[in-house]
Amino acid sequence: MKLAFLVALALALVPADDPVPVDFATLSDFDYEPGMELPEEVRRLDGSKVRVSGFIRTEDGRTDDISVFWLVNQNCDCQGTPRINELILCTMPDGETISNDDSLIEATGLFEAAEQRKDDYVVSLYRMRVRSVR
Amino acid sequence: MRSFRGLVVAAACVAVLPAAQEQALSPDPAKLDKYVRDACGKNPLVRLQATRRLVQAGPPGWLACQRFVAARGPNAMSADLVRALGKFDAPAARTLLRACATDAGFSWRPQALQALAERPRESETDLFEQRLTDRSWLLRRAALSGWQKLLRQRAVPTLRRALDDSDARVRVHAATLLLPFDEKLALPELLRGLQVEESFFGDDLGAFARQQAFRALREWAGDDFGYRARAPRARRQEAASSFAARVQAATGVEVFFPAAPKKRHWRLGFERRSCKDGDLYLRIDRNGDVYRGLFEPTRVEAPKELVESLLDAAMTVPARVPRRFGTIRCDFERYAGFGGNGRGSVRCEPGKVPPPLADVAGMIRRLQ
Repeated sequence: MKLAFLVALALALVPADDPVPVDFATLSDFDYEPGMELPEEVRRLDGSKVRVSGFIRTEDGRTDDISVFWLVNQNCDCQGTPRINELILCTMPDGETISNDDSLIEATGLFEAAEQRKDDYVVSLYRMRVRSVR
Repeated sequence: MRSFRGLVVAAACVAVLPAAQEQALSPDPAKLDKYVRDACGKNPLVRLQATRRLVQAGPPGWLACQRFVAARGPNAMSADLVRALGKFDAPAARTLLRACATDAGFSWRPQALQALAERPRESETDLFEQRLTDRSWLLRRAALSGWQKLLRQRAVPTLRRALDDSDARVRVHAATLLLPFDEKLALPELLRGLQVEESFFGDDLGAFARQQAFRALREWAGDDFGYRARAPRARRQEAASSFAARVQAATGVEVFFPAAPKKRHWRLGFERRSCKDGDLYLRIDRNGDVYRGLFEPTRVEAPKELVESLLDAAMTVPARVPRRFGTIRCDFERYAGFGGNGRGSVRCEPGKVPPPLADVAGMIRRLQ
């Protein structure tokens, strides 16, 4: 409830074009089950411009010329694969790529929070169309 | 399959297949086989869902895993699938995990040991005991989990000793496991865990310890005391100090925070994360002094001429060598700080190094 209020407050106070700061605690503070309705504080972020910090993981292990990557909250894989609601599928702008030097990045872009399915699986829950990275 | 022992493991799986098949309930083995392949695929969300479905399928799910291992070998499994094997209530699954956890050629040894540690059996006590002093922090950490679950109160002396581990991530884990038995010892270590600061050329390796300490303390306290593991250092320290005062007032436990270590400026570093050969961190500071270890590194004697040659050679390496070299699954070696601007960094398959770094790697080997 408190979290929902804070997210709502952040959305209300931030000017329309300024990104809403979001952290993984907000996105993953619930036990996700495929098909479930996402919590209100997450649904509110759907379609918003957000700013999230995290680390880059790629499916093929590449470190250069990355156009699509997973943003995760951990810089080592010691804890195994993050949970489904701890992964943001990020797509760089057309023609742009990024390199991964294992350091923390801050990605800004348009956020989507909804299941995307392929075959029998949820293949992404959170997505971001990245506008900038620093 | 990389090793003889891997071969034995796979053979063992095949050997138990007929007996297990008799008990199989699966109406659709093909579908389960697909789940296993998906559990070892590239998309992390798919891996997680497929793994879960296999576990939910019960014995037929395990049978599908056996077929996969028999056909492709244990090393074809993903870390997620290995972790899931511990959830099958099948002796053969535990046999496989045990073989994997002790096979130096297996990629996911910590995950195999962690899978066993989730529901440890008396007969596995020796396995956990052997890994309590392993050179890999991940294996020591997993061993402590299994040891605590098996021995409960009797594990306390071992957990107390682990509070002196050289790796802060193991110390914090030991404190987390010790918390239900000995708050007076565990709480100070967890509170210190909130302030673990160590990075290796931009890689914040203290974050894992901070996050685990935070989770344990949040559960203990019932609130998050305003701490964020990735907040700027000053804000983290402020929240940790104020929470420590609260803990002290509530429990009488005194907390000693060591003085913040002197910030060193590292010029060159070598990192080996390896379950096979043990973890190793070597760094050279701007004075040319060589340090070993990640948390609380200690200075080691090294021939001055060798260090100077090494630093000179590192300067001449182009900073833009590929950032990743060879095939990396779990173990890797990293060279960092080379190049004219000192910003070069590459993660390599163990024992492999890009040609421009060959001299540097050779001299680092002599420092070890």
